[in-house]
Amino acid sequence: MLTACGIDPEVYSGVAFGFGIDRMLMFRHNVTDLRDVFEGDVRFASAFGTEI
Amino acid sequence: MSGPNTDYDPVEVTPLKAEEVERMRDEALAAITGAADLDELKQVRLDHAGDRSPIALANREIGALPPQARKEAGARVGRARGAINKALGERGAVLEEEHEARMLVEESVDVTLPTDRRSRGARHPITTFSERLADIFPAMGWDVAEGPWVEAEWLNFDALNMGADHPARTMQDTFWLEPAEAALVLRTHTSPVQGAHDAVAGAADLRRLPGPRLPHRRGRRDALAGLPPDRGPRRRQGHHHGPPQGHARPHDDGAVRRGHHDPLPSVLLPVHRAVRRDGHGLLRLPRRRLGQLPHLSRRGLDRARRLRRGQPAC
Repeated sequence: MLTACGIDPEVYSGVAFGFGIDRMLMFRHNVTDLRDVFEGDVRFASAFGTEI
Repeated sequence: MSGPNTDYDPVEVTPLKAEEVERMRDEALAAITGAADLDELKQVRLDHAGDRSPIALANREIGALPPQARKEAGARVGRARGAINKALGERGAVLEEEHEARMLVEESVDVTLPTDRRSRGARHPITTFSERLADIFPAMGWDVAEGPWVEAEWLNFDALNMGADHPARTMQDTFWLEPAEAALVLRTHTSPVQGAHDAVAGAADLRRLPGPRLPHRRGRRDALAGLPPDRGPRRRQGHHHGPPQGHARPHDDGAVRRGHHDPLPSVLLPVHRAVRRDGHGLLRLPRRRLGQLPHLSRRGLDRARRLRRGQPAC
Protein backbone atom coordinates (compact mmCIF):
# COMPACT_ATOMS: atom_id res chain seq x y z
CA MET A 1 0.00 0.00 0.00
CA LEU A 2 2.83 2.35 0.85
CA THR A 3 4.53 1.64 -2.42
CA ALA A 4 1.28 2.25 -4.27
CA CYS A 5 1.08 5.64 -2.60
CA GLY A 6 4.60 6.51 -3.57
CA ILE A 7 6.04 6.11 -0.10
CA ASP A 8 9.25 4.28 0.46
CA PRO A 9 8.53 1.41 2.84
CA GLU A 10 12.19 1.31 3.72
CA VAL A 11 11.89 4.76 5.21
CA TYR A 12 8.32 4.70 6.54
CA SER A 13 7.04 1.54 8.14
CA GLY A 14 3.37 2.43 8.33
CA VAL A 15 0.60 4.94 8.10
CA ALA A 16 -1.61 6.06 10.93
CA PHE A 17 -4.66 8.18 10.56
CA GLY A 18 -7.33 9.40 12.87
CA PHE A 19 -10.40 11.37 12.13
CA GLY A 20 -12.40 12.90 14.92
CA ILE A 21 -16.07 12.13 14.97
CA ASP A 22 -16.58 15.71 16.12
CA ARG A 23 -15.16 17.02 12.89
CA MET A 24 -17.29 14.63 10.90
CA LEU A 25 -20.36 15.89 12.74
CA MET A 26 -19.39 19.43 11.82
CA PHE A 27 -19.30 18.56 8.14
CA ARG A 28 -22.52 16.63 8.25
CA HIS A 29 -24.59 19.20 10.11
CA ASN A 30 -22.78 22.38 9.13
CA VAL A 31 -21.80 23.12 12.68
CA THR A 32 -19.72 26.25 12.44
CA ASP A 33 -18.17 26.27 15.88
CA LEU A 34 -16.84 23.03 17.32
CA ARG A 35 -17.13 24.40 20.83
CA ASP A 36 -20.89 24.13 20.61
CA VAL A 37 -20.50 20.37 20.45
CA PHE A 38 -18.72 20.18 23.79
CA GLU A 39 -20.28 22.92 25.83
CA GLY A 40 -23.20 20.79 26.86
CA ASP A 41 -25.89 23.32 26.08
CA VAL A 42 -29.10 21.35 25.86
CA ARG A 43 -30.39 23.63 23.14
CA PHE A 44 -27.66 22.39 20.87
CA ALA A 45 -28.49 18.75 21.52
CA SER A 46 -32.18 19.47 21.10
CA ALA A 47 -31.62 20.93 17.69
CA PHE A 48 -29.55 18.06 16.37
CA GLY A 49 -30.24 15.09 18.57
CA THR A 50 -33.47 13.37 19.40
CA GLU A 51 -35.41 14.56 22.37
CA ILE A 52 -35.90 12.14 25.17
CA MET B 1 -89.54 17.92 74.83
CA SER B 2 -92.72 19.22 76.26
CA GLY B 3 -96.02 17.98 75.14
CA PRO B 4 -99.26 19.89 75.29
CA ASN B 5 -99.73 21.21 78.75
CA THR B 6 -102.93 19.86 80.11
CA ASP B 7 -102.00 18.92 83.64
CA TYR B 8 -100.68 22.20 84.95
CA ASP B 9 -100.76 25.85 84.05
CA PRO B 10 -97.44 27.50 84.83
CA VAL B 11 -97.78 31.21 84.50
CA GLU B 12 -94.49 31.50 82.67
CA VAL B 13 -91.50 29.52 81.52
CA THR B 14 -88.13 31.13 82.25
CA PRO B 15 -86.52 30.76 78.78
CA LEU B 16 -89.55 32.36 77.21
CA LYS B 17 -89.44 35.58 79.17
CA ALA B 18 -89.08 38.57 76.88
CA GLU B 19 -85.76 39.69 78.33
CA GLU B 20 -84.42 36.15 78.20
CA VAL B 21 -85.31 35.80 74.52
CA GLU B 22 -83.74 39.16 73.80
CA ARG B 23 -80.61 38.13 75.64
CA MET B 24 -80.37 34.96 73.53
CA ARG B 25 -80.93 36.97 70.40
CA ASP B 26 -78.34 39.58 71.30
CA GLU B 27 -75.77 36.94 72.20
CA ALA B 28 -76.38 35.24 68.88
CA LEU B 29 -76.12 38.49 66.94
CA ALA B 30 -72.89 39.39 68.74
CA ALA B 31 -71.43 36.00 67.98
CA ILE B 32 -72.44 36.30 64.33
CA THR B 33 -70.86 39.71 64.02
CA GLY B 34 -67.73 38.41 65.71
CA ALA B 35 -67.33 35.43 63.36
CA ALA B 36 -64.18 36.15 61.38
CA ASP B 37 -64.48 33.50 58.72
CA LEU B 38 -66.81 30.90 57.33
CA ASP B 39 -65.64 28.18 59.70
CA GLU B 40 -66.31 30.31 62.74
CA LEU B 41 -69.68 31.28 61.33
CA LYS B 42 -70.52 27.63 60.89
CA GLN B 43 -69.84 27.03 64.57
CA VAL B 44 -71.91 30.10 65.51
CA ARG B 45 -74.77 28.76 63.43
CA LEU B 46 -74.64 25.47 65.32
CA ASP B 47 -74.42 27.19 68.70
CA HIS B 48 -77.09 29.82 68.21
CA ALA B 49 -79.44 28.54 65.54
CA GLY B 50 -79.02 24.78 65.63
CA ASP B 51 -81.33 22.19 67.11
CA ARG B 52 -79.58 22.38 70.50
CA SER B 53 -79.25 26.15 70.61
CA PRO B 54 -80.92 28.05 73.51
CA ILE B 55 -83.42 29.68 71.22
CA ALA B 56 -84.44 26.36 69.70
CA LEU B 57 -84.82 24.83 73.16
CA ALA B 58 -86.89 27.81 74.22
CA ASN B 59 -89.07 27.33 71.19
CA ARG B 60 -89.86 23.84 72.36
CA GLU B 61 -90.99 25.14 75.71
CA ILE B 62 -93.80 27.10 74.11
CA GLY B 63 -95.98 24.06 74.39
CA ALA B 64 -95.59 24.16 78.14
CA LEU B 65 -97.25 27.56 78.33
CA PRO B 66 -100.86 27.98 78.94
CA PRO B 67 -102.70 28.28 75.65
CA GLN B 68 -103.34 31.97 75.98
CA ALA B 69 -99.65 32.70 76.45
CA ARG B 70 -98.42 30.58 73.58
CA LYS B 71 -99.22 33.02 70.84
CA GLU B 72 -97.29 35.87 72.34
CA ALA B 73 -94.31 33.71 73.27
CA GLY B 74 -94.30 32.10 69.84
CA ALA B 75 -94.24 35.45 68.12
CA ARG B 76 -91.41 36.64 70.36
CA VAL B 77 -89.28 33.58 69.76
CA GLY B 78 -90.10 33.63 66.08
CA ARG B 79 -88.95 37.23 65.74
CA ALA B 80 -85.74 36.44 67.57
CA ARG B 81 -85.05 33.43 65.38
CA GLY B 82 -85.86 35.43 62.30
CA ALA B 83 -83.40 38.10 63.33
CA ILE B 84 -80.72 35.50 64.03
CA ASN B 85 -81.23 33.73 60.72
CA LYS B 86 -81.26 36.99 58.81
CA ALA B 87 -78.01 38.05 60.49
CA LEU B 88 -76.51 34.64 59.74
CA GLY B 89 -77.42 34.95 56.09
CA GLU B 90 -76.04 38.45 55.77
CA ARG B 91 -72.85 37.67 57.60
CA GLY B 92 -72.45 34.50 55.56
CA ALA B 93 -72.78 36.41 52.31
CA VAL B 94 -70.19 38.95 53.44
CA LEU B 95 -67.74 36.28 54.55
CA GLU B 96 -68.25 34.28 51.37
CA GLU B 97 -67.45 37.32 49.32
CA GLU B 98 -64.32 38.02 51.34
CA HIS B 99 -63.28 34.41 51.00
CA GLU B 100 -63.61 34.44 47.26
CA ALA B 101 -61.82 37.75 46.95
CA ARG B 102 -58.98 36.39 49.03
CA MET B 103 -58.83 33.22 46.96
CA LEU B 104 -58.58 35.28 43.83
CA VAL B 105 -55.53 36.97 45.22
CA GLU B 106 -53.88 34.04 46.97
CA GLU B 107 -54.49 31.40 44.36
CA SER B 108 -53.92 33.46 41.30
CA VAL B 109 -51.45 32.08 38.77
CA ASP B 110 -49.29 34.26 36.62
CA VAL B 111 -49.36 32.44 33.34
CA THR B 112 -46.61 34.66 32.00
CA LEU B 113 -44.03 33.33 34.47
CA PRO B 114 -41.47 30.87 33.09
CA THR B 115 -42.50 27.28 33.59
CA ASP B 116 -40.45 24.80 35.58
CA ARG B 117 -41.43 21.99 33.24
CA ARG B 118 -38.42 21.26 31.16
CA SER B 119 -37.67 18.60 28.68
CA ARG B 120 -35.16 16.12 30.03
CA GLY B 121 -32.92 16.98 27.15
CA ALA B 122 -31.96 15.26 24.00
CA ARG B 123 -29.48 12.66 22.91
CA HIS B 124 -26.31 14.38 21.92
CA PRO B 125 -25.67 14.45 18.17
CA ILE B 126 -22.25 12.91 18.78
CA THR B 127 -23.96 9.92 20.35
CA THR B 128 -26.46 9.43 17.58
CA PHE B 129 -23.85 10.05 14.94
CA SER B 130 -21.37 7.57 16.40
CA GLU B 131 -24.10 4.96 16.54
CA ARG B 132 -24.94 5.66 12.97
CA LEU B 133 -21.30 5.12 12.07
CA ALA B 134 -21.25 1.93 14.10
CA ASP B 135 -24.04 0.71 11.83
CA ILE B 136 -22.45 1.76 8.58
CA PHE B 137 -18.98 0.34 9.06
CA PRO B 138 -19.99 -3.20 10.02
CA ALA B 139 -22.33 -3.16 7.07
CA MET B 140 -19.23 -2.71 4.94
CA GLY B 141 -17.51 -5.57 6.69
CA TRP B 142 -15.47 -3.59 9.19
CA ASP B 143 -15.33 -4.13 12.89
CA VAL B 144 -16.09 -1.63 15.59
CA ALA B 145 -13.60 -2.25 18.36
CA GLU B 146 -14.39 -1.41 21.94
CA GLY B 147 -11.79 -0.69 24.55
CA PRO B 148 -11.45 -0.01 28.26
CA TRP B 149 -11.60 3.45 29.74
CA VAL B 150 -8.57 2.72 31.90
CA GLU B 151 -5.52 1.67 30.00
CA ALA B 152 -2.01 0.69 30.99
CA GLU B 153 0.52 3.39 30.40
CA TRP B 154 2.56 0.99 28.35
CA LEU B 155 -0.28 0.24 25.96
CA ASN B 156 -1.32 3.86 25.76
CA PHE B 157 2.13 5.26 25.06
CA ASP B 158 5.13 2.92 25.00
CA ALA B 159 3.60 0.35 22.67
CA LEU B 160 2.90 3.15 20.22
CA ASN B 161 6.51 4.29 20.15
CA MET B 162 5.78 7.40 22.15
CA GLY B 163 8.93 8.31 24.01
CA ALA B 164 9.23 8.68 27.76
CA ASP B 165 9.44 12.45 27.36
CA HIS B 166 6.55 12.75 24.91
CA PRO B 167 4.52 15.83 25.88
CA ALA B 168 1.26 13.89 25.68
CA ARG B 169 2.29 12.05 28.84
CA THR B 170 2.25 15.19 30.92
CA MET B 171 -0.39 15.82 33.51
CA GLN B 172 -1.91 18.48 31.35
CA ASP B 173 -2.91 16.07 28.61
CA THR B 174 -3.40 12.82 30.45
CA PHE B 175 -5.35 11.76 33.50
CA TRP B 176 -3.24 9.48 35.65
CA LEU B 177 -4.77 7.08 38.14
CA GLU B 178 -3.42 6.66 41.63
CA PRO B 179 -1.19 5.12 42.75
CA ALA B 180 1.33 6.30 40.24
CA GLU B 181 3.19 2.97 40.44
CA ALA B 182 0.20 1.28 38.85
CA ALA B 183 1.00 3.20 35.66
CA LEU B 184 -2.64 3.47 34.64
CA VAL B 185 -4.17 6.29 32.62
CA LEU B 186 -7.57 7.16 31.31
CA ARG B 187 -7.09 6.07 27.73
CA THR B 188 -6.29 9.19 25.74
CA HIS B 189 -6.89 7.92 22.24
CA THR B 190 -8.21 4.96 20.31
CA SER B 191 -4.97 3.50 19.03
CA PRO B 192 -4.43 1.17 22.02
CA VAL B 193 -7.82 -0.37 21.23
CA GLN B 194 -6.69 -0.97 17.72
CA GLY B 195 -3.55 -2.65 18.98
CA ALA B 196 -5.51 -4.84 21.35
CA HIS B 197 -7.98 -5.69 18.60
CA ASP B 198 -5.18 -6.85 16.33
CA ALA B 199 -3.48 -8.75 19.12
CA VAL B 200 -6.46 -10.98 19.78
CA ALA B 201 -5.99 -14.12 17.75
CA GLY B 202 -8.82 -14.64 15.34
CA ALA B 203 -10.45 -11.31 16.13
CA ALA B 204 -11.02 -10.72 12.47
CA ASP B 205 -13.08 -13.89 12.28
CA LEU B 206 -15.46 -13.09 15.09
CA ARG B 207 -17.91 -11.27 12.93
CA ARG B 208 -18.34 -14.31 10.75
CA LEU B 209 -19.89 -16.24 13.59
CA PRO B 210 -23.54 -17.01 13.03
CA GLY B 211 -26.03 -15.05 15.02
CA PRO B 212 -27.22 -11.48 15.29
CA ARG B 213 -25.00 -9.13 13.41
CA LEU B 214 -25.92 -5.82 14.85
CA PRO B 215 -22.74 -4.01 15.73
CA HIS B 216 -21.48 -3.44 19.20
CA ARG B 217 -22.52 -0.07 20.39
CA ARG B 218 -20.53 2.34 22.36
CA GLY B 219 -21.00 5.81 23.69
CA ARG B 220 -17.49 6.94 23.15
CA ARG B 221 -16.82 10.35 21.89
CA ASP B 222 -13.39 10.00 20.34
CA ALA B 223 -12.39 8.98 16.90
CA LEU B 224 -13.37 5.64 15.52
CA ALA B 225 -10.32 3.64 14.73
CA GLY B 226 -10.52 2.32 11.23
CA LEU B 227 -10.10 -1.42 11.39
CA PRO B 228 -10.15 -2.84 7.90
CA PRO B 229 -11.69 -6.24 7.34
CA ASP B 230 -9.49 -9.27 7.66
CA ARG B 231 -6.78 -7.36 9.36
CA GLY B 232 -5.12 -9.26 12.13
CA PRO B 233 -2.51 -11.79 12.97
CA ARG B 234 -4.12 -14.46 10.88
CA ARG B 235 -4.65 -12.57 7.76
CA ARG B 236 -7.21 -14.18 5.55
CA GLN B 237 -8.08 -13.52 2.01
CA GLY B 238 -11.78 -13.11 2.28
CA HIS B 239 -14.13 -11.53 -0.14
CA HIS B 240 -13.92 -8.33 1.88
CA HIS B 241 -10.31 -7.48 1.29
CA GLY B 242 -9.48 -4.34 -0.53
CA PRO B 243 -11.17 -0.99 -0.31
CA PRO B 244 -14.96 -0.88 -0.02
CA GLN B 245 -16.73 -0.81 -3.35
CA GLY B 246 -19.68 1.45 -3.77
CA HIS B 247 -22.25 2.23 -1.14
CA ALA B 248 -22.52 0.35 2.09
CA ARG B 249 -24.99 -2.49 2.25
CA PRO B 250 -25.81 -4.47 5.36
CA HIS B 251 -24.75 -8.07 5.70
CA ASP B 252 -28.25 -9.02 6.50
CA ASP B 253 -31.23 -7.07 5.29
CA GLY B 254 -33.03 -7.42 8.58
CA ALA B 255 -30.09 -6.58 10.78
CA VAL B 256 -29.37 -3.01 9.86
CA ARG B 257 -31.93 -0.37 9.25
CA ARG B 258 -32.10 0.75 5.69
CA GLY B 259 -31.97 4.38 4.89
CA HIS B 260 -34.93 5.53 2.89
CA HIS B 261 -35.27 7.89 0.04
CA ASP B 262 -36.69 10.75 2.06
CA PRO B 263 -34.77 11.01 5.29
CA LEU B 264 -36.34 13.22 7.90
CA PRO B 265 -34.37 15.60 10.04
CA SER B 266 -33.53 13.84 13.27
CA VAL B 267 -35.26 16.49 15.30
CA LEU B 268 -38.59 15.15 14.08
CA LEU B 269 -38.00 11.71 15.44
CA PRO B 270 -39.20 10.90 18.93
CA VAL B 271 -36.98 7.85 18.90
CA HIS B 272 -33.63 7.04 17.55
CA ARG B 273 -32.81 3.95 15.54
CA ALA B 274 -35.92 2.20 14.46
CA VAL B 275 -34.47 -1.19 15.20
CA ARG B 276 -36.80 -3.77 16.63
CA ARG B 277 -35.76 -5.15 19.96
CA ASP B 278 -37.35 -6.74 22.96
CA GLY B 279 -36.78 -6.27 26.63
CA HIS B 280 -37.13 -2.72 27.84
CA GLY B 281 -40.30 -0.76 27.97
CA LEU B 282 -40.98 0.36 24.47
CA LEU B 283 -41.84 3.74 23.20
CA ARG B 284 -45.16 4.17 21.46
CA LEU B 285 -45.02 6.38 18.48
CA PRO B 286 -47.65 9.10 18.65
CA ARG B 287 -50.21 8.50 15.96
CA ARG B 288 -49.87 12.02 14.65
CA ARG B 289 -46.24 11.31 13.80
CA LEU B 290 -46.98 8.19 11.82
CA GLY B 291 -47.98 10.14 8.78
CA GLN B 292 -44.60 11.79 8.75
CA LEU B 293 -42.67 8.56 9.19
CA PRO B 294 -44.04 6.07 6.71
CA HIS B 295 -41.01 3.81 6.94
CA LEU B 296 -40.86 3.52 10.66
CA SER B 297 -41.89 0.43 12.52
CA ARG B 298 -44.72 1.30 14.89
CA ARG B 299 -44.01 -1.21 17.57
CA GLY B 300 -40.87 -2.21 19.36
CA LEU B 301 -38.96 1.00 18.95
CA ASP B 302 -35.84 1.10 21.00
CA ARG B 303 -35.83 3.48 23.91
CA ALA B 304 -32.71 2.47 25.77
CA ARG B 305 -31.06 5.76 26.58
CA ARG B 306 -27.53 4.68 27.13
CA LEU B 307 -25.49 1.88 25.75
CA ARG B 308 -27.58 -0.83 24.19
CA ARG B 309 -27.19 -4.13 25.83
CA GLY B 310 -28.86 -7.42 25.42
CA GLN B 311 -29.72 -9.38 22.39
CA PRO B 312 -31.30 -7.74 19.42
CA ALA B 313 -34.55 -9.41 18.62
CA CYS B 314 -34.37 -9.12 14.90
